[in-house]
Amino acid sequence: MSQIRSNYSKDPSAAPVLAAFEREKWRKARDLAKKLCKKDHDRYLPLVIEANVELCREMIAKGQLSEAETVVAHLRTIAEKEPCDELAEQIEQAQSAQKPATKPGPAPASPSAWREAINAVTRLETGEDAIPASAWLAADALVAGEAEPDPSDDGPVAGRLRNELKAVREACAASGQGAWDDAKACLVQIPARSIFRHWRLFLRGVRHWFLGESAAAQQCFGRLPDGSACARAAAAISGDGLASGIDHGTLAAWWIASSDAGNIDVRALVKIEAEWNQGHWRRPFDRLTPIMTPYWQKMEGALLSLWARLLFPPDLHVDTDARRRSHEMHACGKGLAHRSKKMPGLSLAYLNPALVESAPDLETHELALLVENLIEISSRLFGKNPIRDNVLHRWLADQAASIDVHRSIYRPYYRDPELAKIMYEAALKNDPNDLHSALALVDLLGHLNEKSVRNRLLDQLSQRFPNEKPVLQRAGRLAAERSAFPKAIKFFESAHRADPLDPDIRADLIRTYLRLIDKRQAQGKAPQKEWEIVDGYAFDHPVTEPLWLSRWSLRLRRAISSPDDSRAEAWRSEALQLAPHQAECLFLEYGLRTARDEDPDRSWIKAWRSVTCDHFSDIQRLIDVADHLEASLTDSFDPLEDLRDPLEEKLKDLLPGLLLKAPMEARQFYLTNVAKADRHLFGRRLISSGNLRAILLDKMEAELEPLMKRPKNVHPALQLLYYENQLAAYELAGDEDEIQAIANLIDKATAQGLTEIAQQARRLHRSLKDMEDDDSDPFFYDGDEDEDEDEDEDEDEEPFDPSDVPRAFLLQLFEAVQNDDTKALAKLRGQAKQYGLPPEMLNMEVLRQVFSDHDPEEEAPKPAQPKPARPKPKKGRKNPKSNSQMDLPF
Amino acid sequence: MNPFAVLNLSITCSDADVRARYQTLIKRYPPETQPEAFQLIHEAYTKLRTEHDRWRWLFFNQDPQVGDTPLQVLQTFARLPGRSRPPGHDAFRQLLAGAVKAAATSNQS
Repeated sequence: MSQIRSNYSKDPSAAPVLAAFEREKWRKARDLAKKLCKKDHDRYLPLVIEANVELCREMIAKGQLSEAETVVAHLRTIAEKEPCDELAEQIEQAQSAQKPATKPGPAPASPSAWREAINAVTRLETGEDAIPASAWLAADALVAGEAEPDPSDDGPVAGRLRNELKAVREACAASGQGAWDDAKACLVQIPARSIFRHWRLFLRGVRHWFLGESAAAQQCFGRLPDGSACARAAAAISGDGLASGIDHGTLAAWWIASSDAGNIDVRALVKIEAEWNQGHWRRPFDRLTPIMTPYWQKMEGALLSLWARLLFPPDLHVDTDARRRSHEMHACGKGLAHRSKKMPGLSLAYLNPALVESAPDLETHELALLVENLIEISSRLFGKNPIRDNVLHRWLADQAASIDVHRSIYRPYYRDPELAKIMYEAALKNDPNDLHSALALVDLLGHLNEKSVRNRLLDQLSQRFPNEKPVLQRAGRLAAERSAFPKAIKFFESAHRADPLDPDIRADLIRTYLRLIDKRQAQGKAPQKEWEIVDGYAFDHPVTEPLWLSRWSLRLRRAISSPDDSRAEAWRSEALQLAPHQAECLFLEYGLRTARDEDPDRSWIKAWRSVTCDHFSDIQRLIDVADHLEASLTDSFDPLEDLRDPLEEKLKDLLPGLLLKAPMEARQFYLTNVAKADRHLFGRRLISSGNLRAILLDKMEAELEPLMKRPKNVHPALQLLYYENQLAAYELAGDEDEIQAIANLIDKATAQGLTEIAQQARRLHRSLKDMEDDDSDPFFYDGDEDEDEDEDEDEDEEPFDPSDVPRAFLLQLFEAVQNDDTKALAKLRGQAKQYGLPPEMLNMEVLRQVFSDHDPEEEAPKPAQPKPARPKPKKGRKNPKSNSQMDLPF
Repeated sequence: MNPFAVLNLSITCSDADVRARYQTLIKRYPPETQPEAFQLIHEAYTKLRTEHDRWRWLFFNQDPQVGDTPLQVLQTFARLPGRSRPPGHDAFRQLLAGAVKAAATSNQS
């Protein structure tokens, strides 16, 4: 609100005028102020002047210059000289800007164009269809006024042509003004074989376009001859006008006029465009600022929003270093905020890319500085706003609480949990209803082991948001953690009512009920009621659901836990029927009974063995079973954990098998959790053993070696494991026999429908082919090479410094390996050179090995190191194994 | 897509402004007859519905559309739903003349 208007804020009679000002109804404000003037002229005259000034500015922005002149003339009678002169100057500038757009020069008579058009009409009348392109162009020039009819030609054809031309021109004039009926009436006079016939189609398209029927318009425009004047004009109206070949001044004038963009200086805009396209940035921006001024004054509208985004050339965002980009943009944003408070959108546009694009690359304290500065600038521009501050604090907190992928090889590392905690608290202070921040803070406090604070916060949240599912779920889990099972069930049931389709809540309910049942049974009670309830929540599709939550496993568990019940045998039979694999059901039964010391004579293990075979097949079978358990690895480990003590020797074979088959994410999750829990000593030993894959493969190798003499009898999965192990141990040379053997494996896997194995084998096949094709493979030593030469090369070569490799590159590399994205890896190979990284090093298999061998205790990530050249092994002779493979934990 | 531009709103607008403009526009561009425009308007509305949403878009939108030239901005603006209107005879004639010149130049080359 201006100073003048604020003087009247306490005047009740001026309230309607101020309200009209608020709504930017200047005319109404002026009329109301005039009425007040009649009562007290001296007091209310400033309001009349203010309303007239604003009205005049609006008229200038809309291009209503003659009306604006009238207002200024009136203002001169009541206001001081200065504002009137300023407005008059603005009107003058606007008038000069409009001149080139509104004054097309008179076209001279063009006998040649006219003659060509006459000839074309004559040909059309004689039934000839082949009209030269120049004749169509001449017709277009006549319509557009670029050529005029020859006044000396008064033949009958010329008369007809003149009439048709007149009709088309009138149709164009009517279309330009939106008089569609008039345009239609004019176009009716154009015959089907006229030289102006394509104008009918074009003008129909124009009508559809301005009536908002864009599909119909595009249909008409699409049928226009390519490259014709009509097609070019159609592109300017609806499509890519900048590619139409029409000069920029004309296009700009058209877009300004047809979209009510106000009073924009076309010539200046075209100049800016040319400079912009030459790669300049600052100068065009400075020139653009005065053009934008009318929009900043109103501070709204589509064009303002679009102007605000028109700032930086794209290469500044992509190529420049994140830190420099962030600082430069931030400096610009601050400068703008100081320069004019009318440019908030512009300032934000500077800062937005700095935040979004630089976030992953900047340190958290730099991000914090950026955010605090942004809050300061925004406060200066828009005033204080807790919601805005909440959004910024929450974003910063989310960034600080995100996982650092460089460090999270074996367990998740947060980027900056302490900062995240402070920022979430700040976000909540600004907006106490921000549930996202509250829940994120609860999770973070759990991670920081501040359990008492977390519990208190969660209690408050469950009272404040009694119907929010995530709150209820967390409160239920906390209650379950405290062994308050009835309370936990109450929370979970409320959450289930809020979202009955959420499988996680069902899973939580089942887990809690099972723990309650165990507790009741330990107290000597029969939990029949709980069993009935939990059966209602059980999942029917065990293939995709966690093992313990499926109906069959619950029946089995009930049968085993209630051996005296007359229905126990029936429940067990049902479980066997419902289970997807008999072996799976029997394996669980064996596990449960052993854990309950019910299997002294090992009868259950015999039952299980009856559906499996020997030691080796057990693993194979479990790997197959684990396929169905990928989504719930932790659950599948629970029975195995129960069996740990009596059967540790057995488990040492089984666990790696399961882990190998599990997805990487689940594997890391499981290992992280077991590492934290003291009772999972077995899991901790697994982690300490290092490469799980190596353990399994090492154990399998001894058994696979004799079997692989006849590979046809070996399961494709095991064949693949064998070959991968061979490759990792540098025992594959990539010769024809090996490539053929893997090709056979691909065929076999494809024939059996094992697509995943076939895909993996194809990758192996490609690696081997590459080895065969590439003579300069750095991983195999070529004995024929001159050693001295190699030494010289080593001396000349600049030593590779891992710290030269940027983190962003490593991140991309890591993601490519994790996702097995060979395309991304191919791109990264190109970039590798500039960091001194040999491109040959970016071999997917090697990278996989490097990342899987990564030391979890390392503070900062290190780039992949090239493996030292090793002598090529002779076929049939094994290399000594690495220490990590030799030192097995079992 | 700039939702503020699509809805023709200021960055300091209120929830009520956004809702009112959305309702006006969907009446003008119903999904039955103008599915593309409706989708654009609806998408813009979902991005600006609350004050949180608006600030989040202003600060952290993943599509900042930077690097447009001034004429690209004008072209985008002219193609927004509800912007185009017949510009008058002179502007139309000037466009046609420009198109004829471009076609003639192209024909000569």
